[in-house]
Amino acid sequence: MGPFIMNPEGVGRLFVPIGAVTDGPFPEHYEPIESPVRNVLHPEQSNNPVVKKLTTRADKYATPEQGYTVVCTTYRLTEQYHYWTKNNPMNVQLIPEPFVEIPVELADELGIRGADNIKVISIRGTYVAKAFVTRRIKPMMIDGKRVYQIGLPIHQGFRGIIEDQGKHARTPANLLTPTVVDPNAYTPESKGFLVKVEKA
Amino acid sequence: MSHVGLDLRAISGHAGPVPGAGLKREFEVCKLIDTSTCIGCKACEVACLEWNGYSFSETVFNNSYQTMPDTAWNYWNLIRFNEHEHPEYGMMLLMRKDQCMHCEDPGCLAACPADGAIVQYVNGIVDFQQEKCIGCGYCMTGCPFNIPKFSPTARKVFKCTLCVDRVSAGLEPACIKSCPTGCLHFGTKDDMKLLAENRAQQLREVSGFKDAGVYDPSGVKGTHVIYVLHDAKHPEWYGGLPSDPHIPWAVQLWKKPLKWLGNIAMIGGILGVAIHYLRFGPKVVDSDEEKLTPTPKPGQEPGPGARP
Repeated sequence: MGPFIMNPEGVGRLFVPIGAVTDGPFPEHYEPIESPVRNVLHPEQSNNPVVKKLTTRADKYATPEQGYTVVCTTYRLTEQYHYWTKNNPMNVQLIPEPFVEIPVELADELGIRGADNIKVISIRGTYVAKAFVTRRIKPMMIDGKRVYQIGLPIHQGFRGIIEDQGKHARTPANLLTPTVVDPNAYTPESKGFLVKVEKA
Repeated sequence: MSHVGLDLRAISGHAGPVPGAGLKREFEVCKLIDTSTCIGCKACEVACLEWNGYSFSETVFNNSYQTMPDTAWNYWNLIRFNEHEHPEYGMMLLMRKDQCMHCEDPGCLAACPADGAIVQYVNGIVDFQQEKCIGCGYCMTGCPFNIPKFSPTARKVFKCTLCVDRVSAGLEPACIKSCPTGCLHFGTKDDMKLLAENRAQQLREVSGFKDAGVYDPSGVKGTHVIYVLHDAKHPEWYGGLPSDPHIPWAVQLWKKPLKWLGNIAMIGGILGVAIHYLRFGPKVVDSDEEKLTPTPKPGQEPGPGARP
C-alpha cells in the first residue's frame, strides 16, 4: 500500500481538482506574510493572495525594513501538552520557566549569555523569557543576507502553577504570532514571522 | 526492605557466607537504553518519581533541557542533554537516561561497611536497605558513576532500585512502562545484549553511524543497565559516561589488601600474646624493679602523684 490512501486512485496527483483547494490547482511556493526575503519565483506576488487575514487594528504585519529581521518559529515541547500541563507540578518541574532558543551567533552579537532574560518583540507584542543559547539552530545565508532564526515554545503564559506565583510574565507566546491562516486548512502561520531580539 | 521473593547474591559488610546462596538459579535482568531513539520527553523521570512516591521539586531553567544539573537523593532518573558538534554527523543532541547502572561488581557494595545495607540479588539488582544504612556515605566514594546520593533529612543514602518491588512481582520497571518511543527495553541480560547488538549493527550498517556500539563496561564486570550509543568509542559525550569505569583504587585497596592485612595483624597479635604466655609464662614484677622507682630528692616538693 502506498502513502496516498486518502485518494480514491491510491496514487499521488500532480494537480488537484478545480475547486478542491482555494489556491489550486497547481502546487505553488509562497513566502509567509512576514518574510525576510521576497519570493524568488515571483517577487511581485511574494505571498499567497487568497490567504485569510484578520483585519482588526491589532493585526499588523511587519517588514524587514522596519527592523524586524529575525525569523521566529513557535513550537511545542515533548514535556508539555499545550496549555494544560503547566497546571501539573510534575510537568512544571521538567520545564520550569518559559525560554527562547537563540543561536550562539546571535547571542554573541547581542551580548546575551545562557539564562539571561531577553525580550522578543514582534509588531504585535512583546515576550520576555530566558535565553536558551544553543548551537542547534544555525544562522542561514538567504539571498546574501545572514538570517537568524529563534525558537519559541508556546506552553507558558496566562495562568499556571508558576505563573500564579508571579515568577515570570504571563504573556502568551501567541501574542507575537500573526493571525494569518492557510485558506484551505485554516492552519495559523505561527511557524514563520518576523521579530526583533533585545536584552531585557 | 529486602524482597522476599528474591534471593541474595552479595551482602555489604557481611562476615561469612550469603544465606541461601546458590540455592536457586535466576535470570539476570537487564534494562536496555537505546540513546538513538530517545526523544528526551522525560516521561521516565516522572514515572520514576510517581512510582517511588517522590513529589515535585523546585527546578530552575539553566540553559538546557535537562531538569536539574545532577541526579538527587529523591530524583533517581535524569535525562542528560548534550549538544555535540560531530565533524561527520553534524550537530547532535545527545540524550542519555542517567540512573544506577546496577553493576555486576558494584563499587557501592564493596565500599559499604554496614552489614546488609546494600544487597545484590541473584537477578543482578543492587538495592540499598535504608533501615540498615548508617549514613556514612562510603558507597558514594565507591561508585564509578556518581549515583548514590545522601539525603540530609533522612541522613541515609538513596538510589534507583531498578524498581525491585515491581520486578519481584513480575512487572517491568516504571521508566520502561512509561517510555513512549520504545527506546527502553527490559528483559534478561542475554536477550537485551542480543537486542542491543542487533540495534547497534543496524545503526552501523543502515544509519551510517560507523562506531555505534553497546555500552556494557567490563571494568565493573558488566552492568545490568546497558546503552546503545551512536559512538561507543566516546561515551563521555553523553554527559560524562565514563569510558572505562572501575571501582576507585582507594576503595579496592581499603576493602581488599588492607582489610586482610588488618585482619592478619589483629589475629597475629592475639596469637603472639598466646604463644608468649605459653612460652614465658605470666609476667612477674620482681623485687629489683621495685627498688628502681625514683625517690624524691631532698628539698624538693613531692609531686602530686608521689607517695608520701
